[in-house]
Amino acid sequence: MVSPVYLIAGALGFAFLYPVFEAAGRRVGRGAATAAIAVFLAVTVAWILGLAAGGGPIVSHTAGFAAPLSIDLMVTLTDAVVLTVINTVALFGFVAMAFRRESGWMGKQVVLFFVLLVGSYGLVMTRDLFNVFVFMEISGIAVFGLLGTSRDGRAFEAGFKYMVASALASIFFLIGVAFVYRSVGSLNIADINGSAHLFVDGTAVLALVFLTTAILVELKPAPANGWALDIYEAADPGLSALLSAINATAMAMVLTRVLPLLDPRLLAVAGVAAFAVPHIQALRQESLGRMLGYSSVAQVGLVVLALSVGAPGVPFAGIALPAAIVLLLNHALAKAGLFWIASALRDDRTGSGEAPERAWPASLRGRPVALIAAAMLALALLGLPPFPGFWAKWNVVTTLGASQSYVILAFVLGGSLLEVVYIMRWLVGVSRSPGDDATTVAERIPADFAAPDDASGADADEEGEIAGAGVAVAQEGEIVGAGAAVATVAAALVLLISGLMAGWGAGVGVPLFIVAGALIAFALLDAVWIPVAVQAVLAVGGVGAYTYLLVPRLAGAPLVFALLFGAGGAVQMIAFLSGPARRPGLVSLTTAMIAALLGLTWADSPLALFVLWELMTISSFLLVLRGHRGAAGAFRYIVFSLGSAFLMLAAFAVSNLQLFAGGFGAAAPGPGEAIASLAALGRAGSISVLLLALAILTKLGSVGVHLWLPAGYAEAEDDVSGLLSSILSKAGVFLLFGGALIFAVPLTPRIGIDSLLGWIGVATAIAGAMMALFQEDIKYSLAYSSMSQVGYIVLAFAIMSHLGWVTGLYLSITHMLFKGMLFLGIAGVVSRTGTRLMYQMGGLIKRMPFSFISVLIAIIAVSGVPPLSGFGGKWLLYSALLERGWYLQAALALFSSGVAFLYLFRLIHTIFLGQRKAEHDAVREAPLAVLIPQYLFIVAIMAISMYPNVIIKPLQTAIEPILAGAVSWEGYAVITSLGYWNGNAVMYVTMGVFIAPLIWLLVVKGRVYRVEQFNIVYAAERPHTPQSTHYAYNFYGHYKKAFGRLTEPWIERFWNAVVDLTRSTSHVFRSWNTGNPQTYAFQIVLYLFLVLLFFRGVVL
Amino acid sequence: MTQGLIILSFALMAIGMWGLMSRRHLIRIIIGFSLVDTGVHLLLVAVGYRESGTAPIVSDRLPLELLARRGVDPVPSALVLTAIVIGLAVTALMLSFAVRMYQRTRSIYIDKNKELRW
Amino acid sequence: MIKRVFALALIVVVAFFVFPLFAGIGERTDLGPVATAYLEEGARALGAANLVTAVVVTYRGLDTLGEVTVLFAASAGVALVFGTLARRSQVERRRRPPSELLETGASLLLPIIATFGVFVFVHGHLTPGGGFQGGVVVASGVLLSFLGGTLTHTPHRLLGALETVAGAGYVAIGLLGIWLAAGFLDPRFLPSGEIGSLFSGGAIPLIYVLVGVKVGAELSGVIDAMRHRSDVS
Repeated sequence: MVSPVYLIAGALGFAFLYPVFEAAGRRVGRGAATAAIAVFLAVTVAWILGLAAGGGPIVSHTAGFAAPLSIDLMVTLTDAVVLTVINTVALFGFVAMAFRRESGWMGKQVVLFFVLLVGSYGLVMTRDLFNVFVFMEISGIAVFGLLGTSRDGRAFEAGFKYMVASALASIFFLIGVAFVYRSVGSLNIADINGSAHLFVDGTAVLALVFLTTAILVELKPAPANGWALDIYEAADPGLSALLSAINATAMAMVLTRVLPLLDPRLLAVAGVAAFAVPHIQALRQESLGRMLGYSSVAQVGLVVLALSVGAPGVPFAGIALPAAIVLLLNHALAKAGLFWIASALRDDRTGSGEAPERAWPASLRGRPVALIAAAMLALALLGLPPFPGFWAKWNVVTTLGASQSYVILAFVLGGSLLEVVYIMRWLVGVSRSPGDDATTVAERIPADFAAPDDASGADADEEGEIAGAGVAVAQEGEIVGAGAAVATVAAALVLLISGLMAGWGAGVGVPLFIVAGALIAFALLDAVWIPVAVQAVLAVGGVGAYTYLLVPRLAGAPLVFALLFGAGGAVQMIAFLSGPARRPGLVSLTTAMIAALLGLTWADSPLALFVLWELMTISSFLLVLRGHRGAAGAFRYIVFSLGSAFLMLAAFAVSNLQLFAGGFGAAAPGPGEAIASLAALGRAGSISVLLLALAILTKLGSVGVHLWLPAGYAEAEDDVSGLLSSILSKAGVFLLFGGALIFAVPLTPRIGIDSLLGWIGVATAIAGAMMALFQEDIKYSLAYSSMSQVGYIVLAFAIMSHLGWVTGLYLSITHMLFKGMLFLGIAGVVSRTGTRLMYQMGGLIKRMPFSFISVLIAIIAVSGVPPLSGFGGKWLLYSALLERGWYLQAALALFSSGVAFLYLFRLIHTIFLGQRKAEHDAVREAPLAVLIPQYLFIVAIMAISMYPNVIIKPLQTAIEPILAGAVSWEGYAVITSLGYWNGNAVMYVTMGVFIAPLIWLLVVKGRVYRVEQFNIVYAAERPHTPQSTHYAYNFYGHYKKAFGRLTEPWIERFWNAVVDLTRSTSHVFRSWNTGNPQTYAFQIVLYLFLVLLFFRGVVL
Repeated sequence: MTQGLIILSFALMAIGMWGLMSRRHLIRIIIGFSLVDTGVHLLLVAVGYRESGTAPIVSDRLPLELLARRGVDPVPSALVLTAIVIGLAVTALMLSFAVRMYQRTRSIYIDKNKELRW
Repeated sequence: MIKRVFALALIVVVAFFVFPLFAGIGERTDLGPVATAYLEEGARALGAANLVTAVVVTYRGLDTLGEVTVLFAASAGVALVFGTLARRSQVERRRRPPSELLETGASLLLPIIATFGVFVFVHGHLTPGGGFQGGVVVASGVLLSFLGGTLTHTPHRLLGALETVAGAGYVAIGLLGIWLAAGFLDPRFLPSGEIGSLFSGGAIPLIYVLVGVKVGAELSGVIDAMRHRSDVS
């Protein structure tokens, strides 16, 4: 293998000789430089291969003497990997910078770039403490020089601050070196680490204090890092990419060299501060460069923290180093890629600005490659699967849980969530639909429909303002240079492939690959312009096949839900056959989401479960984002969903992976054993269950954490909303049932988690129904209705009895059926009428009779009146509630059902009945492809209604192993302790009761008095605008007067207060970075002082 | 001797730090940095000193045989040489940046050159 | 004001914690193992009379190569920092002409300074001094001649060529060390000669000459960049 010294000699020699190449022409110079980096990359790759095959590290003694007499360069496998990543970033980064159209790098800039490379190589390979200092300065000075060529004049100010800070770090380093040399008598790092016992008092301690501070300061740790952010803001993003990826990575390697000398507690404290503080500060950044900078320093903080993680008493053991390295590499590629995008976009906005023109970056829609790359890089940066950072973070977090470092765990997950907020806000900004101002989180009523009360007046103004402002879309010309594009895409691909490989290594291969495969395959079909209809057929087949293969392997709740996800998903995807031929990403994301849901049902470890959970979250988030005005809803959705995911991660970590141990696979313990293993954990066990419950409730959109839900469901595309609301909402339900009896674990002797769940379920059912009642927008009404229905399911689950669970599963299935029907029926109506506002419709029964029948059946089923399946559900629910003795809950559920009936009545009445609008005289029936799934569901509903035992008996069998039942059967009648339900008989009786009045009405039809459409007498209110006299507008105004207070958005207000508080906290924290280098110098000395105190407190 | 030199070097660094943190004039801040830097160089030299030692150069006064007993430690001297040159490079760059900051804002005072913050 | 109080307080507090740690430092009589090895064997092994030079150029040669790189990068950096300004040096402001004393003195001293500089780097392995010191002396001569007006036109091409040749030459000598002797920057591929003579120490004098040339050229470049561009307003 090539000796390490050649790498340094080669890069340095090339730097010295570069003027000769460039003298032959700029193209020659550029080409030669690219070739040189490619050769370096090849060398490091060869090292990886060689070292992986076995054999010790490659060493080269300089000057012909062995260390410690001379300086040794050494490359271990880890070093080779790190160097390869550095070279990869260098290659892409150089291409991005040198091949761009304007102000591409040349001359001394290229030279300095190579000097920077020499510095980074040296930092990674050298094993001599003073030599580290030299290479530190080499990289530092190269960066300073490159900063000098930045377009932004503020770069000089930033550079000056950086120089002051790094000069202090260098001085500390030298002081450390001096005392280390005095104590040890050698500068070889191995010798120094071998003399760790010497560093106990006097100047030896001082040596460690200064050395540690110096290395940490070079890593730009918060809260002593204001200067670093100025660089990221003012520097050319291409340079920031190198700084963040190459420099930080190399410096972190220096920290790993001296680990044996360091106290893990110090690293933990420093790491937590360095990780959490920048995330808070970043929340309000209006400059993309600065925001990414905050993220960079935080990520390096996470690496420091990861290095401190280990089993108690055995610091740095096991996972710490590999996890830290993977985090470093993940960050290097992701961050560099994002900076390259920033450089190509020339759009520094983040979406956080107060002023409208500072608010959102230009949309990247219509630039699919850039968009996909941006999304992949952002997801990778956030440590989401399948990217490499996820696997490392999982290891770090679960190890923290195992070592009971709960405070650190909370900081890590909380910080990660803050990072989600600001990174996702930017991602939502660049990927929203053109025309979406990313503010839609509730229904929007056009300005000429000012509501009687003043609340929506502000909306109207806003509407006008936004229409005037227009929304910027990135134009072709705004993307500068193919180099950055190549670099970005390459970085994203490297991350994806390495992440998938890591997933394979972690044993989550098959389900993960199915999801990724679906995503990629359909994206490729999109790329070659295969129409959506063809893709949909393939997707339905694929999902069907996956389900078919899966079913024989499953039993119990997983089986029920696999059928629900698979069959429900496949049927609803038939609707994609209609509609435009080109809807990029639609089939790809939908299929991936369903595949992830199906994967959940046979996850065989907590890791697999969590991976698929996150994949499901991500793909559904992107689906919502595809919506016309989905950006704001998608943003709320992903923040709440990832908040939920992090809670779940915390639950897994706190339970030491006892929750869902074995997943749903063969190795999973039985319900009794699962409870026993949690009980053995004591308090941690019940806390972890509580965390899991909170995670699931958030994902279900329970009241209090439901803010994401209305816009999330309603603003997705019309034929996607149904999938989200009917299938996706069951993922959380599945975990409830899949977790079996763990939720019966008591929190305190008097309070059980199940009774909490029950109350939350009831509250959600009522709140959702009330909200649904007062919506003008039909999709919002249905979205809230979904929330309400899921509340019933949670309530049923919480009963924790055989009957309750049967009810829960039964409700899940029927809800999937009728909510799918309703959303598809409405999708058909909306596609024909072009509006979602109910008062703008009416009288469609004659134009769209098939849709009408479908919606009618669905609402009968939902509202729980006989004879359809909903009645059975309600009957089972009340029986179970009464059995458990939850009378108040039963009463409230009954009340909520009444409300549900009201909004459903409004739905059918205002859309299909009444007078038709003139402009709707020519509408046609909904497309066949949209009707087919609805009628398939109708068949299912009818079957279930007539023969409830067909579905209830299997559900009982599924539950029997966990909760023994007290339900018996007699023919078609279900018999419980409280009575019986005969689906068949109910159907016949109700049909009779229904048909008699129908005939009577048909007879007296001629005597009907027709109410004029704009009959103000009917409205009985003073007309504010002509349209507001329409009877369907503010349909339940009278109820609003009675119950309106219940629907006051106080939860919205609460969360707004949380946001305001976070934003002001963010400002308090970032005010620490005053912009004055002297303040920064002060902070650095203060940092030194704190480290000093730490060492003296510990050592003396 | 060694102890005195070390204390002296730290005193010098403290004075330099004071200048770096309290002066408003960019050039004075840089001078403060140079003082700290010099303090470190002094520290390095002090660390290499041995009692009644002399420069490790073979000459008539210090024949080869006596070198190992009388010569001071050559390593810190080598280090300090490198450190000085690096300090020079950093100072040169700092000065150039200070000049460019002055050209941009027409002020040589640090508090007029802190546009980037938060 | 409050800032200064804080700064002073912090410095005092840090000093308060640091200074007690110096209490136990005594005089050293014995050196560490590495230093002892250098003193005992270095001179003989390399043939360099100046042990510091032996350490600088050979044992810690990688540091020195890095140091040259730092200076090289700094020189490039200074040039870039001022290079983004439009080339306004053409419309250079009229300077006060140098006084006669300065002018005469400069032209008188220049050859002496240059010779001294060359002497210093050529004898780096024998006496205190070396490539850097010599290079700096040479560059100070260049500065003097700028001030004295003897040098009005900067030979950019020459400086660039010197930098390239000296830098690449240094790396090349390092590589020769690998191929002809025991390792990178090993000077023993040339005969080490008799300790104390000019032609001794293997390739050490050669390296020092290249370092001297390079440092002289780079510092002259820095001086030139600052002189030409920094007074533009």
